[in-house]
Amino acid sequence: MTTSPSFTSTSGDEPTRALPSGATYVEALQDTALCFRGTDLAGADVRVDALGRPRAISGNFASVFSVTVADGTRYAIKCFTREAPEQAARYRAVGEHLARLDDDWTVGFDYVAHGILVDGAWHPVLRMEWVEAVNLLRWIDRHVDDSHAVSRVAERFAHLVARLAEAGIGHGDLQHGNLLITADGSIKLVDYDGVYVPALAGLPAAETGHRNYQSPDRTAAEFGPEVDRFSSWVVYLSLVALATDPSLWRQLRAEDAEHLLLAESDFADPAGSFRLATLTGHPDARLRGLAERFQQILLHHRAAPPPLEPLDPLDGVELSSGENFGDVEPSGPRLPSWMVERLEPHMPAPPPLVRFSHRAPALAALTRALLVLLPFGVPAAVFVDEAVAVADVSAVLAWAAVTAAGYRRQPERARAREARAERKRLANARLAAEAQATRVDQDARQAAEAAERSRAEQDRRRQDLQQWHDQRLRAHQRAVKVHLDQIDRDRQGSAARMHLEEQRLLVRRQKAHLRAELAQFRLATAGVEGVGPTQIANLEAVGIRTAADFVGVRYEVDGHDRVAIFVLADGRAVSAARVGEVSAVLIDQWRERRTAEVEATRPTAVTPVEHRALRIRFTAERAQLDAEHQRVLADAEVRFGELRAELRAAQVALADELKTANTATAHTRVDHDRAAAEAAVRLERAERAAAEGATRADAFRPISYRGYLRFLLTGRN
Amino acid sequence: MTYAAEISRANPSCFVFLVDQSASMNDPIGGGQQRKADVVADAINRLLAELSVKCAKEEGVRDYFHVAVIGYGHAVGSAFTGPLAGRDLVPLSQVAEKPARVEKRTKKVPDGAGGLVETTTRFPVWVDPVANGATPMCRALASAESLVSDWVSRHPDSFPPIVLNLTDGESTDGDPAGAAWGVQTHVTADGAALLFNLHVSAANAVPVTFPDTDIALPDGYARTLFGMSSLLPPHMRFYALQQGVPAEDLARGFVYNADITSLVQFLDIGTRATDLR
Ligand SMILES: Nc1ncnc2c1ncn2[C@@H]1O[C@H](COP(=O)(O)OP(=O)(O)OP(=O)(O)O)[C@@H](O)[C@H]1O
Repeated sequence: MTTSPSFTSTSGDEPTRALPSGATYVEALQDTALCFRGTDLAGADVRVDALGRPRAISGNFASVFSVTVADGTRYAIKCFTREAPEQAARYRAVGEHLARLDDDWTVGFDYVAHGILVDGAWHPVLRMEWVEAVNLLRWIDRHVDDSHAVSRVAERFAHLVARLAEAGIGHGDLQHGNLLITADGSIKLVDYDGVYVPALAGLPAAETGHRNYQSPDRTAAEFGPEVDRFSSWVVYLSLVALATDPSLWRQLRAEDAEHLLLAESDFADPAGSFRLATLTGHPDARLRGLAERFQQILLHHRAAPPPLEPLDPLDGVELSSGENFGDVEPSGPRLPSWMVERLEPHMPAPPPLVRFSHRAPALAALTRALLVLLPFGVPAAVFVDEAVAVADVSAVLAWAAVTAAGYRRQPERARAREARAERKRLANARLAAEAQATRVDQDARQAAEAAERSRAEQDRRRQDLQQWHDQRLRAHQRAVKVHLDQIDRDRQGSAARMHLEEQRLLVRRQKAHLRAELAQFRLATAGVEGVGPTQIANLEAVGIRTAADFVGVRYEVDGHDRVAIFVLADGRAVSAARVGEVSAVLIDQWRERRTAEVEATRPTAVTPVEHRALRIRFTAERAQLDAEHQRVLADAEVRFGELRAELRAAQVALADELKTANTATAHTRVDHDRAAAEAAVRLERAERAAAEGATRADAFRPISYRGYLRFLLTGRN
Repeated sequence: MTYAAEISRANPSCFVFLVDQSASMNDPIGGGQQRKADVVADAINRLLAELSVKCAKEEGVRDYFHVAVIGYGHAVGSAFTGPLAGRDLVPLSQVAEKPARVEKRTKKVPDGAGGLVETTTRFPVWVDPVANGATPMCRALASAESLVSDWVSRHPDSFPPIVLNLTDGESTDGDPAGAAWGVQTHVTADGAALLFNLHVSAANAVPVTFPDTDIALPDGYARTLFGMSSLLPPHMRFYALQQGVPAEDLARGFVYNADITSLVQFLDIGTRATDLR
């Protein structure tokens, strides 16, 4: 171990830039020639992990690496991962202050502003001497059953706290990770990020310490030599308790918990703290006293605790610095842990049997006499006289009364009664603890079942919500489809109507064309056989001048004659004088021929003008339908968005509700877990107390009335 | 106060990473040459390495977290390769011990004197880039939910589980919002499970980190992912700000085409910084 630590700090504060992360440092440290370029660490060996990558020890603010240079010197290189205000200045002040001390808890360091090159930028490092030691938690894990070793560390810790106070230093973060125990059992304090030295008066604290060691009232504003008071109580009380009763290590903390015997929740709620109650109710009076003192501090002086008040050396072991009791050379043979577990310091080996010590000579003589005479008394009473029997009985009664009184006066008897009452009380307490543990178990089971039910119920409600949404969505989609189908039908209807209209127009046009063309063919010039001027005149007289003027001929019988009746274009029926059946047939044939001729040239399409008019009309109609189609789609999209938004809102509301319910469940679970753990410990402690009570009472086994009589008679017991 | 629980071995928390392994992850990321699948696999491997360093103590990596990496593409399941293949939640110490392999990567870095030098680093790999199949994000979230729900019932007092979804956002099995809410209904006494999203996009839009509104986001996928993301708890915002990452009051755990590994630095393990309370 380095003997005279040095403390230096180079250059001032750099402008802040984002610090590299732990893994980024690990990457950079794979090439020490590069990352320490130009410094004497260039090319140094970095301790690596199983993957061959630099092995970090990380805290919340930094990662620390073990770096060994060519001459074998090993350094701890602390690479910062979180920004700390005025870091360089703080380290300079701390270094200067520590250099004036000659304390063995200090670890020498250099604050190097251009410490490590990461991705082209220099960052500060703290280069420390490497401390070969283990942190307090791990140390206790290994040594908890060695009460002597633990009590010595408690002593040294109290000493360290006193030294810090004398030197006007506040460490700021006294906790297991920063208290390193070396092989010779001495304590090294690392991590000076948050250290107070007088030169830093007026600054705020750079950090507020580990939650399981600090007062809930601590703020950054508190930064002075008193800053460690609370944490020193926590550490010291824990160490004293462990030295007194190692089983507390297992009983008051989960196996891997990152605290000593007390934690944040105990400080926040001392009245409800099981751990604190266990310490303040401990059978060991010294421990109880210290715990009660700390409880008072928690209740009344949490924000400003008094300085640590160490007990006298715990088990009278002198602190001789050369003594080894750490990893290297355990002091003498140690008891195996199971033995230590059984023979707690506050519970010595089974006490020797207690015996009667005071025998009244007169009473002894009387007893003996009675014992000798009584056998004669009985036959005498039977054969001699009733009076003898009466005397016999009275003598025995009197003797019994006197010996009983004598027994009651024995001091052992009072103690035995007390011990037996205590045994009974402790046995009852054990039963109560058992019942409590069972009850807690039952409660926990019920709570677990309730949680399971509520989980199923929640699943159902979420499914219901999804179904509700899916249904609405389907209904919406159906409605949209119905609407769109209708529009499609309207579109088809419109197209069909347009076609029909066109046909109608075409027919009209064709008819007009027919009439116009037929009107060109005059009957007068047609030269139909047998149709002379008279007939022509007569036909003209009834309105038939051209082929367009009539549409057909029919014949009616008038007596013996058949009369030709011309059907005019307007539907009227006329007959022309002197136009007989034969002429009429010829005239009609003429008309039909002309009609056939004209029809061959009839138009096959509507006029362009008509066509355009039609198109304009129907395009407008179509556009209207298309617009409606678009609108329906857009509305559907909007509605879809609304439905989704409503779903999400419902989901959020439901999620909030479930969250609230689940938070309650979680709290119940936490409470049950805690209750179960506490009940188990309570039971364990009650069982042990009951066993101890029984052992103590058993020591009074010889103390009984019968035993007393024997003692009177024989003097032995 | 929520999101303040101690993270310790006795009271560990859990991380569920969801990795999009769909065919669309073959496309290059916006403004870059790397495939989205490579970017995402790289991010996961870095996150795991970062987490391992963050939780390394004197005696090795501590199980402050249990970690699952779930891939989703042609199937939904563990994305670990190597010795951890097929496993869901793995204690961090085992993760740290058992990458599939340690790659030697060579890169050119500034030498601090204006030049560049080549240097080799060992890079542990747990997850390989994969890109095929659809994007069953809802199923992936449901699978995360079942891990989270189981976790909170076994660790009701822990720091709430963190689910980090790395994706290009194009869910093919429905609107992921419902599944996302589902994850966040599971709570410990310290708060609701956190769902964060890393959106890797082929669009060449400005990267966004921890926004508090979706107006600047380039597309519907990004907005959906933003809407799915939990608010950053106050202490994480504090650490983000400390790292120079702006994070407003309502900042969400959403990152668009940017680095997410810094998230690990927002975790609070051990001594508290000031200004946190
Ligand atoms: N000089 C040293 N020699 C050996 N180990 C050291 C040294 N300094 C620190 N360490 C180890 O590195 C760990 C982390 O260091 P340190 O406490 O300085 O970091 P931190 O980030 O400030 O941590 P914290 O969260 O406690 O504030 C310590 O717990 C200790 O185990």
